[in-house]
Amino acid sequence: MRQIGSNLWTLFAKECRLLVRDRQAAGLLFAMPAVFVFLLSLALADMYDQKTSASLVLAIRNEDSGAHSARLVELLSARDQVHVVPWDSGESALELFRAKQARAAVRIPDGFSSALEELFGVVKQDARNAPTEAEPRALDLGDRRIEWAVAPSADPVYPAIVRASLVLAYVQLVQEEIARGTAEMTGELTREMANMAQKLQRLAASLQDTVGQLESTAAQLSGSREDVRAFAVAAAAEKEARAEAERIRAQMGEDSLLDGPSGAVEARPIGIETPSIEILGDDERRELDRLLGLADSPSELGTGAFSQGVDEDALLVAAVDERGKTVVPDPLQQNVPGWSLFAMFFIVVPLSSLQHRERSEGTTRRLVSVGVPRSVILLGRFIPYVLVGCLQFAAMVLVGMYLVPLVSGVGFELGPNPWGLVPVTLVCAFAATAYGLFVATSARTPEQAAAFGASSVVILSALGGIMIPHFVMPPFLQTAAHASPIFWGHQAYLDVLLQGATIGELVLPLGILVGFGSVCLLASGRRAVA
Amino acid sequence: MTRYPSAPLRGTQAHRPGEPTEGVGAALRVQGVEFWHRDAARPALDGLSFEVRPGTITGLLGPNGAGKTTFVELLCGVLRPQLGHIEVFGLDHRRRDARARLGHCPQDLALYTTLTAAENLRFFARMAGVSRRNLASRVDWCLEAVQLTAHRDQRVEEFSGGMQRRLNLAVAMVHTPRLLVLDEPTVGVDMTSRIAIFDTLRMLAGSGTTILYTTHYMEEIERLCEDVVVIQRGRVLASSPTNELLSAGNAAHVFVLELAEGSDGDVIAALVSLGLHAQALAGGRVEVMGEDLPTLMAGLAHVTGRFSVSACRSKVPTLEDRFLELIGKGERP
Repeated sequence: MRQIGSNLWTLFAKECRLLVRDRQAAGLLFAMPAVFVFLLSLALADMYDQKTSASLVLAIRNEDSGAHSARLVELLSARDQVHVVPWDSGESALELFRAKQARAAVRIPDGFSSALEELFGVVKQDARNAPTEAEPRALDLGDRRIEWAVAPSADPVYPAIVRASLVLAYVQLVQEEIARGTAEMTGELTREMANMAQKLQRLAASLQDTVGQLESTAAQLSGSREDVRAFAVAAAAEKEARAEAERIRAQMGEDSLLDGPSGAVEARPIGIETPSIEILGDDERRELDRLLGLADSPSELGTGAFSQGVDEDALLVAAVDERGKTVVPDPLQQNVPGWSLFAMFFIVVPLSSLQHRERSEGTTRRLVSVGVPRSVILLGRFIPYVLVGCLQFAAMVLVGMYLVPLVSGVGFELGPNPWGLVPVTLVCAFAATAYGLFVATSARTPEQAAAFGASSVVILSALGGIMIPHFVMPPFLQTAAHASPIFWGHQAYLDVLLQGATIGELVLPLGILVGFGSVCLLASGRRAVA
Repeated sequence: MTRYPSAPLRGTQAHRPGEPTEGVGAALRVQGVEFWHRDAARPALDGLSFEVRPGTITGLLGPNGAGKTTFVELLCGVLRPQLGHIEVFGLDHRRRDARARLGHCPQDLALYTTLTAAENLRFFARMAGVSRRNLASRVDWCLEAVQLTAHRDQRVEEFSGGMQRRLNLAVAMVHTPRLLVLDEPTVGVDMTSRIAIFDTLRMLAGSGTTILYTTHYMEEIERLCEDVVVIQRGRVLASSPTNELLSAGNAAHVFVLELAEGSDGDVIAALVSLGLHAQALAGGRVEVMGEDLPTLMAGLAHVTGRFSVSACRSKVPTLEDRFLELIGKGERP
């Protein structure tokens, strides 16, 4: 036993020396994935930014010449999460989106201000008559309602941002008008209006919370990593806003003025289907819209809404899992573990080359001739390469943390549970090295081993979601990916990086990798001894 | 002048001069070993049996395909015999303690070329069980024995072919084996390195190490080996002391004819037709051999009468002559 330990240590030291002095192998194992991480993280950053940028360009066509519409545009322009640009040309919203001049568009129809003025007049009259007026009036702007749309390929959170911005600007407009109205009133009416204004203030305060959360969402969106998490926050904020509004409504009673402006703003498509986020149920959304003065969202998301080959359902499922946790990585979260895994598995090339060279040159036979068991020789090669795999991941992490930010400004972060990466890396390196040894011992020639090894790793990586993120794959490929050990390794890494998964939550992917590695290692041992 | 290291072989399992060989008669005993390669039409080793005396240098000789390398691989544990058994100093050769008594110098340069000479020696010594305490002295001793001390920290990839061969030998003896198996150790080396290797082997043999020497070079066997085992098609054709093999053969009479003109092919054909062994030599010469002197003389008279022969000289038979006789007319190693 002591001799075996000594042999293992001696083999380990020898392998380390050989690796350190083999510059080509070092280049293959470390430089190649580092270049991939660096280049692809920068290249993919644009794609992710397009999906997640907080600076939502909102084109506004104001066809109305009244004061209220002008004030509405002013209020919209003041919002941080949208960047308002004029939309005076005759092109359609779709053409605007295709030209990438804006990601969302709003049209304020002619007559909007006058219709709103009429509405305010009626509201003031109702207010004067309150509380004797039992039934609230059904008030509607008719065909002078605001229309809006979001580009089909835009980030799923954009419709929520546009809608919320419109709602909040509109509420503020109403609030300002009522404040003006209260100044004109006297006696009970004044007190009544003041009371109503107070209630509206509370509503506004509640909605302001929503604004705050949406703005927080937008701020988080500016960091590309947080895109889908922000999406979940936006949804949660919407739910909270709904609950708060309901509470206010319950306090104010059915005769509240809040029922008055129902239907004042309508979100409806401008010649195209508008994607919406169905975090809330239909009934909940309808109720919330009614409370906030919005009509039902006129357009439901069709399966063809994402016309760029991305399955919308898959995206939503991938973006937020059933526990509401984020599962879509940013470019560095995708690439650092991804290309580390690629490099780990790519050791099949130098490993098989070395294995065959030693076999043909006779060093292995020489060791066997002095009584060193073949299993010890194999293990002596296996252990150093597992450590090389771990070093590869560490090196890629350093590249992501310190090198990539020099160019992109955004660095790799280890996530909420950095220690969770240790067992994942060990298991991945174990599986990758075992696969390398299996190929090395199975092939008859070094050329065969290198060709099969390299091509198999490329295929397994492509299938495993390294080159093309798994969450944008079509469903059948997402299913097929489960056949690749690299997929399980990548998923384990993403679970730790995005959700802070603990070892207990990684039993499935790590178990599969350990099983895969053990089978490969046993098969290698049998072949080496045979 | 070759200088041998004077340091004793400390901390090893080496056989020392005068030391009893554990009451075992043979350093290597091979009994009825049979081995078939996969899909082969005939066995590579077909009941191979011979013994190697302790403390001797024994040549293992045979033409290509005779089974020499297969036997060496069996002996070193790379292959397993399908029948028969091999003993190293009385121990089954598969036992670890038997392996520890065995040193193998393969025909290929089984070295790590990116490591230095000293690193290679240290690695193989540790793998063979040399203790840390004795490691440095063993490495120094081996480097000195093969005259590579000055190159100890030089990478093997920078060595000449001869230096690599010498280091290959040094690695085989770094753990001081009692039986050293050398498989074509001088292939592709110049005369200087060859002489250095011979000197080292004689020194090892002088210290009691048993050496099994496999080669194609007959003159090496003649110069080095006290005993010789000739094998063909996996069977032993002859096994005896070298001098006995030389004298016991039928090729006791060898003559060389120098042709003044004409084709050596015609001369050889005429001699062969008379039942004699003949082969062409360089410079228009023909070598002819035979066990029966009258027949040989009659043949010589016949060709000198028919062809233009300028000279006829007698020659002392060599191992090559004996080997050719053993393995059959016209077959070359």
